[in-house]
Amino acid sequence: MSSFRLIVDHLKLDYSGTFDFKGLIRVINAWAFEKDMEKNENKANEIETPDGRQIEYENQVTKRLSDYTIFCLKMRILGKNLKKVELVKDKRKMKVDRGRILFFLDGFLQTDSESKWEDRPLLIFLRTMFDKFIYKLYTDRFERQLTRDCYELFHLVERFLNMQSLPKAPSHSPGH
Amino acid sequence: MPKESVAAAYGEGPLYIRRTGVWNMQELYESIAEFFHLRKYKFHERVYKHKRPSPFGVERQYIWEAERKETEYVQFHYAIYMHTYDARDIEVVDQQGDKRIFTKGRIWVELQADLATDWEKQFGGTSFLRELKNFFEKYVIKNNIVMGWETKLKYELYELHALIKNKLQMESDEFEHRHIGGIWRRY
Repeated sequence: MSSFRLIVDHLKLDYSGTFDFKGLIRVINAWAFEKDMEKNENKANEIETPDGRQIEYENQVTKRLSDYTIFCLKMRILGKNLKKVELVKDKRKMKVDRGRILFFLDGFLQTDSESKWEDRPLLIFLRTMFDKFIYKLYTDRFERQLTRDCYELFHLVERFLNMQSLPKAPSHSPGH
Repeated sequence: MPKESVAAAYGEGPLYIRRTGVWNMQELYESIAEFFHLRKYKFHERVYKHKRPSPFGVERQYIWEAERKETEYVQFHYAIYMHTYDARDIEVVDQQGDKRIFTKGRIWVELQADLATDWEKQFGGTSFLRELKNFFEKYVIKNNIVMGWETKLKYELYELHALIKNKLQMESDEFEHRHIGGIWRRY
């Protein structure tokens, strides 16, 4: 199995109020499409309860940067007690959701995506050496880019939900 | 000597959908069958299992398969597993006042798409032919598989995924690549 490194660890967003869930999914998909990323939807659960609709989505967007490296953003979107309400916006009625939403985001950097450097312990050792010292410049650059993308998506979701925003993405990747 | 299996090395999934609530089972059933018929797949219902009803409702299992011979070397194959729990028929009145029969309960759907190569089993006879097949897929038609057929299969699978979510009236029932064709797709 190729090497997965966690670069952005569990960005979390918790929001209660009124929002358009379908619109949120659409915004995330459009962002992934603009960034030329592939979307995989691993899990889609919806349960209707007397308190409202309970939703769980697990999405993964990936982007192949080279034949060695892949970006991987894992999203988990949880909707709790969502109920449809009617709002009037610009003299037009629209249906939106009211409830709680939790959004989790992790950023992984997958290297050796074709698993060519892992048949023997020596190869794994060499792969680590290459990543850490020889390809250091590229590895750092990819990590920064992944961090930037993760924070961009996170701020996008925050803006969509009209929340007060976190500070901008760090100029270096976390942990360095 | 048994010939080599055509089990797929390429594919997508499994994708899972779970839903509790009310949905139109008949419409879901027909739309999935139509999805495959429109794309000229052979569609088979392998298993339809109606289990003894419990006090909470009926449990049913469906296993569907669809396949299409894309070329003389490549075949698309879909496996759909659907399981309903505690399902009961309920009568619903729509906005026009028409009565319709819907299903209330829980549903679990698994979707898996595979790309089988050498479905005619021409390369399975000897170890030399197997190596030749390996070389052929690894170096000669690799780009066609990875950027062409596999991508097409993936897009189709996500269209089906979105269709099922739409019929189950789930929130994320849109597939952003639905209307993309032409230069974006090799096949």
